[in-house]
Amino acid sequence: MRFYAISWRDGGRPCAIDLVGAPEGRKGELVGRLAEAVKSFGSGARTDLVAAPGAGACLARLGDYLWADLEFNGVRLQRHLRALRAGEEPHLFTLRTGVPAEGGDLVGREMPLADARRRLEAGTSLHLMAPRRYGKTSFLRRLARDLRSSGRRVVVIDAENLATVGAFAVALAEQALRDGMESLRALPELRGWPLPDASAAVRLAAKEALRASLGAVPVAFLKQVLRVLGGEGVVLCIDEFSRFLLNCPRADVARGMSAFHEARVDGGPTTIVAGSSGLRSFIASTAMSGAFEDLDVLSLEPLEQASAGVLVEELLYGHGRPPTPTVVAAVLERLGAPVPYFLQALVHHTLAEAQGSLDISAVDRAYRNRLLDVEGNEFFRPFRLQERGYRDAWRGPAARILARLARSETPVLVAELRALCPDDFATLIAALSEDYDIVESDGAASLRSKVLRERWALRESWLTGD
Amino acid sequence: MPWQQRISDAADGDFEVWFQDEVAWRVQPMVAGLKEEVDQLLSAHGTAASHEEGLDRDRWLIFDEHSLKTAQSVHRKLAADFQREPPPVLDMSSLLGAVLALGDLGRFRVVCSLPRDVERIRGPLLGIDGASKDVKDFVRNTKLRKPLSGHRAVQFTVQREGVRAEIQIMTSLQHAWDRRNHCFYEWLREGRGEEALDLRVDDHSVAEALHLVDRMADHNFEAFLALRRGS
Repeated sequence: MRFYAISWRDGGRPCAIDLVGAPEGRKGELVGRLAEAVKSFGSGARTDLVAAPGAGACLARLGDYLWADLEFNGVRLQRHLRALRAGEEPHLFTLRTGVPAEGGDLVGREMPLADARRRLEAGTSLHLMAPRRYGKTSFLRRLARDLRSSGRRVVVIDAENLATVGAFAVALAEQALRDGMESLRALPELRGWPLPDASAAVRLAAKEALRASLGAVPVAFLKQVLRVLGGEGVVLCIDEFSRFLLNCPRADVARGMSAFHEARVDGGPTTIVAGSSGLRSFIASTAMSGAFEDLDVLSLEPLEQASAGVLVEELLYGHGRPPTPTVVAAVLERLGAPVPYFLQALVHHTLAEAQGSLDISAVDRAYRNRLLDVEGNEFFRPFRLQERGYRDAWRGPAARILARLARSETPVLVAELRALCPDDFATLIAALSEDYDIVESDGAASLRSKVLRERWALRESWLTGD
Repeated sequence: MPWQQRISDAADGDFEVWFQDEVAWRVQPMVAGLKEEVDQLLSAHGTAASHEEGLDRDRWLIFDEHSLKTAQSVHRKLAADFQREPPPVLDMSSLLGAVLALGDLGRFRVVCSLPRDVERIRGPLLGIDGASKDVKDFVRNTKLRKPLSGHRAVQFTVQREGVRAEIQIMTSLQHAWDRRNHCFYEWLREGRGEEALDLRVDDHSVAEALHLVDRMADHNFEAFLALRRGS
């Protein structure tokens, strides 16, 4: 009877937990704990001690449900059993530092995803607002997948490298055709567009030719494409949208976005835009609020503590290093507000630091000596480079504001920050809020991420704006 | 109303579900823990025996296929027991008591290479915490050796946490006979004894012959040890 077998009366995937390797003298106790955990599923579950797993059973080891101190982790077992009962396989988490989370790696976003789906299905266009590295791209990709699963047609474009409205329109048409919107071929500009099996060279040539023929701001073409997509019931997802807006010549973008807005509200596709650069600051600096007034805001917050704890736990188990609850708590405590990006970074460094024992001191060393030090540079490069994109008049005040916020563990009065930037403070603080996750409340502001604040205070005093 | 139905009614309509909910979770930990304890005991005594004999050989192993009585099997047994001796009251509480009183809700077997290995491990196993003093010796106890019954084992129950499990100790030849005989035994329980009389006689003879083979093997092994010590 090597395995503890769990099966379900009403469907679901069976499971067999290998009891080999149980801590000495505790097999009976641990089988009892397994049985207790399964009991919570009521009469839907059936258990047995068997010599071999049944056909199709998901195999697990008893160690998968023990903390590092060999205490039983029943919550993890129940989490996995819920997945199995739903016919899914428990997800094996892997570290994804700096790349979008896919599939089961994306956690803690169930409610905003459901909210986004509901609002998009109701025809409301959205601005997905979140600071850098909060997982907007991961969110958009999962949203697109979920919408497609429910039968909606979705077109996703990444606008980061688009520098003209014409390039935007061509990218939109190209992606839509790639996604099967054959009705676009009725447009005069797209007759003769290469078929899906055409070579990359042919497609590139067609794209270049179309861009050249359309010019910088092809308002009519853009509107036509959007109307076709709207007619097909498409949901349009645009990532790095605000980066695109910043890249475009200012005069062109105003006409282009006005056209985009008109098309959206007149039969065009329901749209969700996201971007790591501040759309709000762009709107404030360009007085283009009218072009975006139809966009409802959907905010992505840091993960809930419970979701963050699960993610930390699962990442450590997934890399063969079961933690203790105190190690998980230590990671969360060092993180402060659980920004997914920094969570992955700290777990990455913790695994590197804990070559021997995975304990609180290893977490502490990983945080202070790696993430906040030279080894952590790669995780903060996007934030450092962001500041370099500001116009010259902003760079000094931005540096002073960030330095002031970084050095204070308590919120700083907005009036004090305003004194550091006498001109155009509102626009700058809007940009900084979105780029550096600054939150305001009751007339005071702070850096929401403890990691960003401590890193800035320790390492990012390279700006000499004073 | 047949007893199987009455038992199901007492189990809130579904005996298998009730068995899983009320019995399985009590039995599984006890049996798993007991098996682990026996495993450790076998390992310790195996080490000591190897030292004494000066030989490292296969001595005993645990056979635990079907270590838990199934709900269907328990259901049938209870129905048969109640048919013979109806319980005064049959409700969920008394049903649970009747199930937990079964001596072999959990069971496994220690299969030994030679009769001397059975004798060696018998004492330590009977010293396990919770082991019953009522030991059934199907080899030496003539009262247990029913006519034409070939079952040969030493077996006893262990009770812990209100649950009873049975441990059988037998040689590998006795185990082989039992494994091969099992289907025949189940068929006989359907009341086919009279038509299979000759087969039962022959089958019993096989068990007796295997007993002799075990004895001879043990005798030969003793002779081997003596030669080895002398050389």
